[in-house]
Amino acid sequence: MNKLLWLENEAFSFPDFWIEEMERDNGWKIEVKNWGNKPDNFTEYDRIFILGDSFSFTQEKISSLSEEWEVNPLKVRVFPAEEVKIIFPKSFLSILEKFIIQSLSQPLFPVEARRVVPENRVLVLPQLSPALEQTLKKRGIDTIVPPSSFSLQREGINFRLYPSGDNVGAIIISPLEEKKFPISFSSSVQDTRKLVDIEFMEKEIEKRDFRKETIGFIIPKKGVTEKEWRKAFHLSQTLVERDKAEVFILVEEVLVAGENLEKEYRKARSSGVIFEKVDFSKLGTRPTLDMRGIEVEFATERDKLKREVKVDWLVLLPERNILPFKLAPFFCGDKIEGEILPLENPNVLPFFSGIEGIFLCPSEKEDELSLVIKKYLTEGVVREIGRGEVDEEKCVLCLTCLRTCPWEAIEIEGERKKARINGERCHLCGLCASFCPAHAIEIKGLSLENWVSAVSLGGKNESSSFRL
Amino acid sequence: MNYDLVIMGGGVAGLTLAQTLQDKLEVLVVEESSPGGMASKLGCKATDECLSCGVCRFINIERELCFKKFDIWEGRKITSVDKSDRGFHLKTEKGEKVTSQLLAVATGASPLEIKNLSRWGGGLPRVYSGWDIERGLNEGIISSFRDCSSLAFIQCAGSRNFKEKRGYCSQVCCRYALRIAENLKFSFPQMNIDFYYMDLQILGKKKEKLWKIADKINLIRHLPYEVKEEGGKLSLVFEEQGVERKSYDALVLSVGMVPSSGTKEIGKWLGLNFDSTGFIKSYGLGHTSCEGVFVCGTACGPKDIETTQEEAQKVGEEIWRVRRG
Repeated sequence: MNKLLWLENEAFSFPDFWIEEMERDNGWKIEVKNWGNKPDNFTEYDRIFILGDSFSFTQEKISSLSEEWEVNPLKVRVFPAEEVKIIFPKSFLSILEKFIIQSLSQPLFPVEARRVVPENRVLVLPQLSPALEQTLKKRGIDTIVPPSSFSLQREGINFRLYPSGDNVGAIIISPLEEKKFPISFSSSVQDTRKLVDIEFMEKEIEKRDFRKETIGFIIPKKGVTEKEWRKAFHLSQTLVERDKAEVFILVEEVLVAGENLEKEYRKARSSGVIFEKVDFSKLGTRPTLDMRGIEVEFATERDKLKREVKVDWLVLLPERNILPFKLAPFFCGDKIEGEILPLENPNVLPFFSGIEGIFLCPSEKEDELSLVIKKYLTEGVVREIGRGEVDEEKCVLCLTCLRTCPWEAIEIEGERKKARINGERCHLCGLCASFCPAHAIEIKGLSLENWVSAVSLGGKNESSSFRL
Repeated sequence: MNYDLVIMGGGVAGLTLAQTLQDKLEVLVVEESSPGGMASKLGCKATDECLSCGVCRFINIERELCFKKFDIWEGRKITSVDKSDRGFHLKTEKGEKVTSQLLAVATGASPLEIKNLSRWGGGLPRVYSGWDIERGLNEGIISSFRDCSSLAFIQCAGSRNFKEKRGYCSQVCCRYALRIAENLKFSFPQMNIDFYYMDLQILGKKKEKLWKIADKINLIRHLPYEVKEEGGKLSLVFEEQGVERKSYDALVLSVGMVPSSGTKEIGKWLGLNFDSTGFIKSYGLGHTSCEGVFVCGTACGPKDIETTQEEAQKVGEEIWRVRRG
């Protein structure tokens, strides 16, 4: 006698006499529970049916529920609740019955849902910035400083670092930034040594007085962070209020999107800092005759009138462009090509690069990143071990699977050099199985008939020999 | 009933905060209507490529709601909050009473009503707010713009206005307006789009793409003086070289965020400090002027969805740190 569990949610449940009818007709024993009074032991049931949204019960969710309940994930089936709302209930009983019969007829393979937890250690490439180091330390994550020459290889969910042999759970790519200014200056202007960056000005303002001097700022519209704008507002205000200097800021756009940034901009303006919106393509500079200052020529956007100002200092805020970091040279036998870009997809972790275990760190988001990394390193991921199997007799080592797998889960191993699926990395997408020319790969429980029944509830009884 | 933490407001901030703390504390979320808040009513702005508007981030929150370990009270309005040495006592409209150790305010913001903006034609037919278009995208009724050949966006409608005590940048309007403009341009290539603005505030994801969109549309750095209806068209007076007049088929006012009525109310009950813009003042990591009360999300200032989520997670960490002692 098959012992079945039917897990309902609060929003929808089947009438009791249906369950009784099904039990009577098929000789099953069905226990109806809901999420509030879940049974303690799930292992005694032959199959577990969940009535739920297929939107919520993704493959990953079923894996993690199976891990929590310590059952074979092939035993857990989701009956899509959204279908129930469409189909008229009276004709529904037979469909329900067929769904259960079909699920029971599926062969059960020994599959185990296992939580794989990475090492609590990260490698930061190409350089560990102090801010990132501090926030990782605060959350108790070890960091490894990359040696001058190294290579990386996958070790299950971890990465192994050679030659030291250390395992790291995740890799953070904290990109190097290139500072570039959109306008070029002639060498004679640079010779005046009055072209400075904002860090220089910040240090200098502590040391000396800029009384009666004229200071110009040039701030481009792209690639200047909120932090730097704040700095510029603050600095210019101090120069005017403390030193009675004359300050004007040449911009294309003023950035005020930030906490209280609008207020600071407003304060700087009312203290006497002059903001001019100018066209950067018509900006000209030349040194003064005594080489002690710079003459700046610009036309304002408003009246298009040409103006010339003599400044003692010209402060530039450079655009910051991220330099792409190439990971390929460090990886042993992995196919990581081109640039790695962050993904905007609600189904993956934020800052995720698209390659498992590799994260991208945008500048000034170190704290948020370390939260995500901490979660990934402590919770890990749940994987269904034993789902993918390669028939060694059929495998001809064409390496198609190795090339198709998006998760690098295929390993070429053994004496006879045959393909093998690493369960800790396999995401059960089934691509390798569908591309294998020798039909040597099978993902257990992921055959076409299963898929059809789960999606359309068509109740197709004839067993087809299709495989994905 | 007793809880460790009661979160007021079930939007992105409240739900993320609850999900962060659900394993550690007993959490209750009280929501006035249905969970989701403002984010659930926004629409995806993707064309043939994702524009990273981040609205889909709400999907994951919604999915996780199925497996929640915290309680949600839907459709219940809080009528009073008292503080005693045993904690905070809340009462709802239906007469339920809750006591909790800690309180989190995540009552959020609401879009500015355009009927207040009569200067820019708020209330006239064919004058929409950015919020209306967002909802249109969400419900798939954007096709009503098919017969529209010219469209103007007016940015900073209601924001960056010190006279009306809204002297802050709402941070999201430039980005959503540019994304909507790209989406409309993609669906209806015949449409002429003008963009009246002060400064473009482009930050965050896909900013290179947004700059490209900004180069494609006609940017006019001036906010119109007035909007009038003339012969079925909306006539706009603005100044570029001199005073000019231009007429459009439709107008979109990119409204910013103002503190929601719930935010104001609860702040008053608890005696929280507000900043000059009407949002609850946050003293870093969600701390407010009242001990034991935390604030997160748009209740303490305008934010986009991504930042709201990140902030809520950090506030969650801080609440756990405070609770643990």
